[in-house]
Amino acid sequence: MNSPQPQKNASGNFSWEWIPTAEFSLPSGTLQTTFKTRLMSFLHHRTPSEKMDELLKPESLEFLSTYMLDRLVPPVDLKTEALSLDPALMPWCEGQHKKVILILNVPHSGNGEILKYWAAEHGFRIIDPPSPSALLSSDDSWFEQFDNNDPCWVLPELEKCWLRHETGLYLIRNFFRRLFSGMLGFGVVGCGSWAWSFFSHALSVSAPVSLVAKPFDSEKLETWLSALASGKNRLPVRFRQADNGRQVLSAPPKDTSDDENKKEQSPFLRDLAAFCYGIPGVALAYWRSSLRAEPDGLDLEKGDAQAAADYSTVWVKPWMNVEKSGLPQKLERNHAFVLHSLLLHDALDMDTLSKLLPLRQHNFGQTMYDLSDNGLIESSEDQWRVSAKGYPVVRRFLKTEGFLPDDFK
Amino acid sequence: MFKELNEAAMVQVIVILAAAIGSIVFSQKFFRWVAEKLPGRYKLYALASIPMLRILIIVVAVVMIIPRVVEPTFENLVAVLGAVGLALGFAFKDYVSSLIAGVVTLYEIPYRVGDWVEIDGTYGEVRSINMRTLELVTPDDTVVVIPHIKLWDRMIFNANDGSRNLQCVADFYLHPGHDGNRVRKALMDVALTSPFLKLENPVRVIAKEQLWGTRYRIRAYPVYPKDQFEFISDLTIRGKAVIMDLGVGFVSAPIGSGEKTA
Repeated sequence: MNSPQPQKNASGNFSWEWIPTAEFSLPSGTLQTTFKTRLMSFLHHRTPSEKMDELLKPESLEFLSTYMLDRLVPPVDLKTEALSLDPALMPWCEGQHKKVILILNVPHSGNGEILKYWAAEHGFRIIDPPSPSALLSSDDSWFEQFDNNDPCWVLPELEKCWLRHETGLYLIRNFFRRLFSGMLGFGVVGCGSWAWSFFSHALSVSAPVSLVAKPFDSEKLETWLSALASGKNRLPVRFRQADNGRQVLSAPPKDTSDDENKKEQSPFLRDLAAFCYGIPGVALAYWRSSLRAEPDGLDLEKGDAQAAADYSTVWVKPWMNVEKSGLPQKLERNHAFVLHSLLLHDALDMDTLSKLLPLRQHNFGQTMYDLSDNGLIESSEDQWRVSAKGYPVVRRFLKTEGFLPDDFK
Repeated sequence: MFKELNEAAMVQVIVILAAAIGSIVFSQKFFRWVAEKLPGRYKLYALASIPMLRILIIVVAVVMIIPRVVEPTFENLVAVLGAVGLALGFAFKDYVSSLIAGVVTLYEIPYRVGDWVEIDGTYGEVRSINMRTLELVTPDDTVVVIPHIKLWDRMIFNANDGSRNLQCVADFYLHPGHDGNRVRKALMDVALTSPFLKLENPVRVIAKEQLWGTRYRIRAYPVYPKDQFEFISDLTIRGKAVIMDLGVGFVSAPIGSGEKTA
């Protein structure tokens, strides 16, 4: 495969780093946690949760207020990462020998959104996916959006350009035929990793150049989460593990004493990175749910700036005690069908999803309820998708059951 | 030859027998429980180990009991084995043959618990493998008990042979006057879009011209072998709908036309 070498961006401030998919490797966790997770997953399809002799008992810790949580872990602005794609993509866009480039979007990685921002930043034409009804009607008018005279077009959501329905493959087959024959000109295609895995196996397609964001390992997570916690107004906050007081994120310089420096670093981030497959969106969801505070450490209801400034230590639950999403007690193949369909298409509305599955209406409703009740799927603007916290357990479950996962093992 | 069976020896024999029976019952329940907890192929391994363990327990029990009831001299052993052999040869020939075949199945493994097999025209999932028999559950939810003796002289068709790869076939019989490429592509898409499909295995659509029309066969594998009938139904129903949308007509083979599978 002819792939560009990953290049360091000019500023060096980007969290996302793009690599050829062949160079993708998952971060590893600590031996103990990995063994326990696999054993429990093997026996119960569940992730482990154990009682530990904690420095601060869990009952003595409280959830952070939404205000504090949003200050310590604010929503990620992916727009600032848009130009991280420049070193990988611009040489192709400006070069003579143009090839189709594929950006793989692992669920909750944010890769697709970054590609959209990158296209907008450079003024490239963004190709919107057709509606579900158009996908089932074998309509070719969607191709009118492509213009051979464009220097580069960007199709950020290829996973939304097909449906796993007997009449839903027409457009995607047609797209690949036109794409690889050069009829559509040069473009960058973003595609969900699960959908691409389906295309590779079912339609036997392969991309000349494919890129994916490098997974976030513990070092990268530490840098990223520290930067998020600091924000513009650096807060004097330390993140320490609740059962042993070890530092989870390096303490801010002014707050770091010699004793703090000598303290051993918690393995929390390493286990978090491994469990989350290095996916930043998933790691962020679990990070938010693992933060706790002492009841008298802060007036949680008050939540003003002064209180935030006084607040010095945020306690992080030990990784094994962090509540993970679990599978429904009575698992049926219907659950697997729904989860696999959602991952193949990234997100679907109920009506479209029901057309793709051979489930009776009441079974379909029950299945959706079970998955939603367990926090494995969530809805936003009528679109259902596998939740960030549910993704790791869903991926392991589907792979174990024999469903085709994405290629990032 | 026989030892004097005093009270202590009797108690020992009874204890050994009870322990053996208890161990067999426990191992069956325990491994079934473990199998329920295990995913995918591990489930089959756990179930397949049940008959092996049972044989082991029985052999150990017999080895422990014999010295307690028989003086273990060469002559005595020859006499006991000879008498047992004679009795079995006349009275329980088929029974013993099935027992021996049951032991052979542990080594040749023509079927395992969870396999889908056809023996003497009966198709079903192997529910359990006992000392003398195996139990199949047919798609009609009927339990069929088949002695292992069939192993000697009957063909055994194993659809998945210990794996989760079980090929299913859906047939379509069409009027010959149509565009074969369009039908073939449409049926391929029907297979690829079935949620039952195991995507890692190949999908084939085979066309064959017959005297009375064209026969198409989708050959594909379901994710779960137990879903084979629902998978075939799904392929058939959606395949028929797609063929009708293409405007292609169906044909029926005349009764007694001698339809054979490819």
